Amino acid sequence: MTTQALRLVGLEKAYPDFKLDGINLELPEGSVMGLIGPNGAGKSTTMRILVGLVQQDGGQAFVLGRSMPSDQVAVKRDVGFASEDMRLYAQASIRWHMDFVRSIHPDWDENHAQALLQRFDLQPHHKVKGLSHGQRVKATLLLALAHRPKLLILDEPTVGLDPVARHEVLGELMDVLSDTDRSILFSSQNTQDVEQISDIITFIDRGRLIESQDKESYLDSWRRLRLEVPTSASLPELAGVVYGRGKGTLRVATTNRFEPAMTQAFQSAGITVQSVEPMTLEEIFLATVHLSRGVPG
Amino acid sequence: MALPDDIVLSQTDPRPMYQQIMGRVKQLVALGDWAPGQQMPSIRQLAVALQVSVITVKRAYLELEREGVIVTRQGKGSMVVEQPGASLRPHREELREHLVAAARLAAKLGMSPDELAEQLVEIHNDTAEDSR
Amino acid sequence: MNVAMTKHLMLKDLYLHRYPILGLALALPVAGIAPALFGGETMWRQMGLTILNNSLIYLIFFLPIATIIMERRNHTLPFVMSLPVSYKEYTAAKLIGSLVVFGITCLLAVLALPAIVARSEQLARGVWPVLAVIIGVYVVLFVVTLGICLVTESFFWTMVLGLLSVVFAFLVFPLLESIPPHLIEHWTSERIVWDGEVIVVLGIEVLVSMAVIAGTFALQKRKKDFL
Repeated sequence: MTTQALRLVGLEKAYPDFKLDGINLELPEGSVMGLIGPNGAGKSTTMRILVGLVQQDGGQAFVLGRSMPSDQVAVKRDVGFASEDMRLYAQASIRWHMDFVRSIHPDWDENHAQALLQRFDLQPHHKVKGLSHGQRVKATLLLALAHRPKLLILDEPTVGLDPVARHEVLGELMDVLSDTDRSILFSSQNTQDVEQISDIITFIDRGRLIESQDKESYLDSWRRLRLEVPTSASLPELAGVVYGRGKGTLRVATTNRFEPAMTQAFQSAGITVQSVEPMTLEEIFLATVHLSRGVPG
Repeated sequence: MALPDDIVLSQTDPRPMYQQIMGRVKQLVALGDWAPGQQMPSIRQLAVALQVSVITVKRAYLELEREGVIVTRQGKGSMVVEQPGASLRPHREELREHLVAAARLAAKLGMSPDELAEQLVEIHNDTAEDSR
Repeated sequence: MNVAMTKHLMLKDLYLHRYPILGLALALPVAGIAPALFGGETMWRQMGLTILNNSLIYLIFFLPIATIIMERRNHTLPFVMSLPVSYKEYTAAKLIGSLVVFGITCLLAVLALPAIVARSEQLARGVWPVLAVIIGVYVVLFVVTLGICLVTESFFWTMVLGLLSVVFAFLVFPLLESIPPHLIEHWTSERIVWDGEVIVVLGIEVLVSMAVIAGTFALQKRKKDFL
């Protein structure tokens, strides 16, 4: 059995107007998990618990086999964390930050750090306050990557990055995976990023886990069907099928449980299935949120 | 040498990524860029090079193996099949059978080889249009 | 608790705030010491001593805000806490770091004082025990402000505590004069008297400081959100 990079059991955390409600999650070693969900869904809270910035109210969190928060110092030695709301010290230089982290992390790899400086096109003597947004994001990432952590926990790592910087960052993240025992958990509103590099996709909404599945199966189970519905026919009630608005002959059905038998069901009801289309992760995201919140699609 | 750089994916290609990868590999094999018996990049190597998840590459390799384009050996990785045409042979034979039958019918109708060829080209173009 | 990590966290703060620290903890006291030494029996000496005294007091107010409140305000706390350190190293680094800076200024004062006393007609050698008590009060106020600041991470409460500490620090002199055992009398005595009263007061100051520090650590341990 592969070691689990992450194992969350019934994780709970209550805030005045938000509640993380019993999250169960597993991330096998060597994989990438993309965390998606609307803002305020609980993605950041979950990641903060994993890094020890916040302590859970209930449930267990095992990071790299160790219990959080009790073992947090040992865990953080092997974890690299970067989040969108985290800042570096404005008056100090990148080099100062590197030296500072190096003094605290026994596994700091100066050669790798130099390579990252090159890759990210950063000048070490620059002060943080003079950096553009993209440079600052890359600098923060460099500090998280340079000690070659076994687990990377990244909250919105590509936000606000121009296409070049985004490509550099994704490339560097994928490079991490060349080592089969290193894993990544990242959250992103950029569904394209998540769709592209995740092995597992986890969907969180309003503090609850909606779905956690390997990406290929997840994308395979969702389909959009374009239907031609003659006036004589009526739309059948099928489990897991949601019909779009519209009243004419051309209708759309969305489902997260697609199987060929469905096409038969429509045809027997006198409805022509014009096409069965895969959906992008963004479309799935919207459909899922609409479904779970009862908003008509 | 079969290099990860030989494969370039396109953002505008509507197909799922694993199918794009399969398509490119099959092209490379058909054109001879990736020779029979050639060692393929490891799943991880290709994933890193394409900036695509390991699971997607894994699926592409599995499907390619199922179609007989590549073969995976435990501990040795994946390689292009020794006789890449082998999987296509039954199709070639079927095509030949159809062409023989068409030629016989054309002869019965008194069509010349050129007329038959012209009609075949027209139909071939039309079919290509449909599948685009 | 990891001593090496704590040291690095302390050095980080000292580096980041090096200019204000040099200013408040070194330059300002020196700016007070000079006139106090060479001012003769004039208002210059008085002013010098006041500056020297105030530099200690300003630290009580400045250090918690600069080193603790600003971490949260500038969103640098997640960066620090994502490193392999626990609340123990963080709390210790902030407490010890601030006290070290405070100690530097105290050291300057202590080094300069014999010379100042020798040249003064008002101050006599007996001043040492009283000064020890006064510095002890400052330390207690300092530690309380630091503790409240660490535990609440509230700019408002730190301000309140800081201002109260500053006011109380100034009140120490008149209080020493009016409240028994009227320790201010030592001020003018030629003999350095470490008598029972002084020892008791110093003892109380040390115990209170230690209790506040222990309480701070205990409350930090119970904290669930370290953002």
